[in-house]
Amino acid sequence: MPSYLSWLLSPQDYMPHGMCFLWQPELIALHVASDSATALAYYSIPIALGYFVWKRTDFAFPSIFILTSLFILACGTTHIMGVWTLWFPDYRLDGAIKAVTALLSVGTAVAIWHVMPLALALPSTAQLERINQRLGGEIDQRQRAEAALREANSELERRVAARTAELQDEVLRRRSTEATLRASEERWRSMFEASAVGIAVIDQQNHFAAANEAFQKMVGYTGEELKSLGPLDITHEDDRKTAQEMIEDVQNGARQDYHTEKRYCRKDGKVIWVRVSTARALDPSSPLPGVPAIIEDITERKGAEAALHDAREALSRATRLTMMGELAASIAHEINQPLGAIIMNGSACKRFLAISPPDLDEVKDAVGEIVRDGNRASDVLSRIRAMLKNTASERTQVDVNQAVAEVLALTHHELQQQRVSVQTDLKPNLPKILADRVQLQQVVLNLVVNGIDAMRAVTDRSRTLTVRSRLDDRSNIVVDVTDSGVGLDPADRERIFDTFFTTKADGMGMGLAISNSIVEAHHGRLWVEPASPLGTVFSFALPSVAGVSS
Amino acid sequence: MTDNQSIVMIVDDDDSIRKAARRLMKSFGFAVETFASAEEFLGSERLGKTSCLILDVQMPGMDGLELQKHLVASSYAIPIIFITAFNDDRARAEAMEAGAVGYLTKPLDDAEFLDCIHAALKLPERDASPPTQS
Repeated sequence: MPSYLSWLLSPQDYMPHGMCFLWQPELIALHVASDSATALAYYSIPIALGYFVWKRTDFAFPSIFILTSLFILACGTTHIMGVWTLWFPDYRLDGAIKAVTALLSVGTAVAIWHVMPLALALPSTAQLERINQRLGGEIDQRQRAEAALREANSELERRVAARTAELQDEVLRRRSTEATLRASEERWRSMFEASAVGIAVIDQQNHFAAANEAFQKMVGYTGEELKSLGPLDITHEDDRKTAQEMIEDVQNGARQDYHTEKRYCRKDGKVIWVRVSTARALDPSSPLPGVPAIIEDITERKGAEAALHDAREALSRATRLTMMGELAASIAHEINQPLGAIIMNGSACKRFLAISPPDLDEVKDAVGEIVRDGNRASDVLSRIRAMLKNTASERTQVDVNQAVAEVLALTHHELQQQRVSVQTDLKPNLPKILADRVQLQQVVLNLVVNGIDAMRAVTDRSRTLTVRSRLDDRSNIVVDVTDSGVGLDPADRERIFDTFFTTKADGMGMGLAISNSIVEAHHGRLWVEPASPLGTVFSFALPSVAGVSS
Repeated sequence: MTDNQSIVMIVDDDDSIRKAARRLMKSFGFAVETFASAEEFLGSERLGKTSCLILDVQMPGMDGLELQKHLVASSYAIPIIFITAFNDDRARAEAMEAGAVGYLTKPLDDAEFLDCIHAALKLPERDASPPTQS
C-alpha cells in the first residue's frame, strides 16, 4: 500500500494537459475558469448540504445527503485536478481521485435508488399541507368536541351537585318521615297494647294475625296460639253460622264492616259474650292486608240485661196474674156456662133413657152438645192456663185476630156485666206476627179492661168498646181499642205509660207501662189518641212477619 | 102429663144453656120455646102463651131483672124462675121481692128445677092463660 501510494505521488513523466491545448492561453483560461468555477460551486454545495443536514436534525435520509456531499466534493476535486493537470501531469493522483469519485457516485446512485421508495413515500409539502389542514380541521373539531365535552362535563357536575343536594334533602326528609312513622307506630302500638278493649286483625287466611293483650286475656289464648285460630274457631257454635256469613260478606265486599254481639268459647271452655265491631278491610294490595276488629267483653252487661229481662218478665207476669185475679169471677162464668149446659143435657139424657122406649135421637143430640160444651170449657181453661203459666218468653207466628178474639171471649162476661157492648172489626187474612202470644194477649186484655174501666162512669149513653185490627201503610199490624168513656185529660195522656201512674182509684199504674214495654220488646209502638166524638182510642202497631221479611 | 097450653119460655143469651135447657124441659115433658134476649121475647108476642118463664139474670141489653120489672109493670103476672151463674144475694132478694118463683144457681139440680117449674105451673090466678091441672 505505501508503495502504491508512493507510486501515485511519485514524479511522473507525462506531459501536462496544457500541452494538449498547445498552451493556448484562451483555451487554458477557459478550462481553468470553468473547472475552478465548477469546483468552487461543487465545494460550496456539500457545505450547504452539511449545514442543512446539521440544522435539520429531523431530516430524512441524512446518509444520502452525506454521500451526495462527499460525491460532489469528490467531483469538485476532479475539477480542481483538471486545473492542476493543465500544468502538473499528476494523472495517477487524478485517476485515483476520479476512482474515488466513481466509487462515491456509484454508491450514491445505489443509495439513492435504494431509498427511492422510502423517499417517494415521504409526503410532499402539498400533501403535508393538506394533512396539516385536515389535522388542523380535526384539531378544531376535537377542540370543539372537547369544549362541548367540558361543557357537558361541567353541566353534569352541576346536575350531580344539584341532585346530590336534592338527595341529601330527600334523605333528611325520609329520616324525618321515618322518625314520624316510628313515633306514630309507637303511639298506635302502645294504644293497641294498653287498650282495655280487645283489638285484633284478621288476615286473609281468616286467622288472628295480631291480637292485643286485652283480647288474649279475654279469650285465654296467647298471641301465638291465636295466629293459627280464626274468629269462627272461637265463636260459640250457635253463633257460628251468622258470624261466617258476616265475615264472608266483608271479605267479598258485600258489606264494609259489621257490628255484632255474639258468644266466644274461651280456651278454658267458658262462654263469654262479646261485641265485635270491624273496621273497613285494609287495602288487599297492602303488604299487611286484613280486617281490624274491636272486641269488647259484654258478658256482665248481658248478665245484667238477662236479669233485667227476667225481672221485667216477672213483673209482667205478676201484673197479668193480678189482672186475671180481677177477672176471676168473669172467667169462672165462662167455665160455668158450658158446665151448666153439660149438666142439663146430662139430666135430660137420663130422662130420655129412662122412658120406654128410650128417645135415643134426643140422647144422641144431647151427647153431641155435651162434647161441644166440654170442649168449650176446656178451651177456656187452656187459655187461662196459657195466661197464667210461668214460661220463658216464646215467640211464634201469631194470628192477631184469633188472639184478640180469645181475649174478648175471656172478658165476655165482664163486658156483659159492665153493660159494655163490644163491636169487633177484625180485618180478615191479616199476615201473622212473630210474637209471644201470652204477652200480646196481655196487652189486649189490659186495653180491654182499661176500656171497661173508662166507661164505668158512663150512664147517659151506651158503653161501647170497639176492637179493630188493620194493616197500616208500612205493613204493620195495628190493633185499635176504642172506648166511649169520658176520655183522657190531655195532661194525663203524657204520663199514661209511666210506671205507677194511674187514673183509677184502685189502680197500680202497672198495666200500660208493662204493655208498653211488651210492645217495644216486639219492635212495635203503643200510643193513645182521643176518640171521636167521645172516649179514647189505644192503638198498638207490630211489624208483621211478611213486613219483616220483605 | 102436661097441658098442651102450658108452654115454658126460656130467655138466655148463651146458646149452649139455651139448647140444654130446652132439651131438659122436653125431657120433663113440657112444651118449650127459647129466646136469645129479653128484647126478642118481648117482641115475639108469645107473652100470652107463657105458662112459665125461665130467665137468665145477666144478659146484654135488657137483663133478667129488668124484664121482670117490665112484665110486672105491664101487669103480666107470668111466673118467673131465674137461673144465674152467680149467687148474688142482692139480686136474689130483688127478684124474689118482685115475685119470682125461684132463683136457681147454675149448675142446676134437675129435681129442684123440676119442682120449681111445677110450683110455677101450679100457681093459681093466671092472668093470661092459667095452666090446667094435670
